[in-house]
Amino acid sequence: MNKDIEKTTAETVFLSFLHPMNFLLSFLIVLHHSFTVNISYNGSYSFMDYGWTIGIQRLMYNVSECAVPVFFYLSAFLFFRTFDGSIISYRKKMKRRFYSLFIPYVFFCTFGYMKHLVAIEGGVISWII
Amino acid sequence: MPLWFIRELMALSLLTIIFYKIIKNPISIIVISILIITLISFGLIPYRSFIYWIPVYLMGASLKREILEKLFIVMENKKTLLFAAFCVLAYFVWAWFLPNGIKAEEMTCAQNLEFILFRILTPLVFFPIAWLICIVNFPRLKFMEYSFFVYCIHFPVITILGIIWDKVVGMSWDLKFMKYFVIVFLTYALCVIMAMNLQRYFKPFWNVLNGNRK
Repeated sequence: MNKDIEKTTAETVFLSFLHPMNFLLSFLIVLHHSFTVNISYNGSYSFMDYGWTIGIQRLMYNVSECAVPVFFYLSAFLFFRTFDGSIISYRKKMKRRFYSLFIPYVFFCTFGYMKHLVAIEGGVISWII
Repeated sequence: MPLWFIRELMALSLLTIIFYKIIKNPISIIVISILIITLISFGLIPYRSFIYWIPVYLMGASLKREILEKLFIVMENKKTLLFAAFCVLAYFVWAWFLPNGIKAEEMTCAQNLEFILFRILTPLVFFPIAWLICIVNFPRLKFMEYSFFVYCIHFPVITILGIIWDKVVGMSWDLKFMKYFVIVFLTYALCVIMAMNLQRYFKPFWNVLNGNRK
């Protein structure tokens, strides 16, 4: 019994890191997509060949590559943590995923498409501003 | 749109029953991962495909409570801590040496292999960071609850802020450096503000957008 409580405590403590970790990873994702110059590898690994502006953004871009693998890893851990291999459990998980992933995905993709039509070069907003 | 992650996660979720059988046998995980890594190295599996992420996904799926406990105990040892700190530092130095920005069809086997190995090792390197967050008892602040929404909406916000910055501030070289950090912080702040207002004034709609997350 005590061993079960200790196990639950370790898992609870581990799971308590989720919110700060998700914040850190989502911040890294924003960092990953915000670059303002061409940060592509130019054949050289010398920082001086890039200069400070490109060099710093390139480093931030590459470091923030870590966010996606950790997101996949955590998603798998959290998914299989409470999955027992049964069809009932699978159906329950798929139903939850439908609301937690599919619905937001459809909405945000639609929104993204509309933004593309309205706000990008040649669109209505760019014409106004 | 960066929502390819959600699309691939849905695909991986659909294959749960298969993965459940695979993770029961560690040899299967290793064999399948080596096969996929080989295909990735030859450029046959693209980055934005769920197959690319199967090795990382299987690693996460096979993480058990017992392994967590053992890792927690091991992390309390000073030598282990030092080694973990060195690994994290080495990892961030390695990040500089990633050949980013090269077109997929122009990447060599070695470059593809470097990228996939970097991504597979990432969760292992992040474990000490997760452990540190637990030990320090990092507070759970309100704005940390909106990570999913920020992830979904940040891209158009970055685009729009970039357009506004260019029109208002201009595009001189020195300002590109400032623009980068200003846009990062402004994007996150705006996304959190949007999320807070949606949650407060349009709760049912917010629940749909946030995928019923608490």
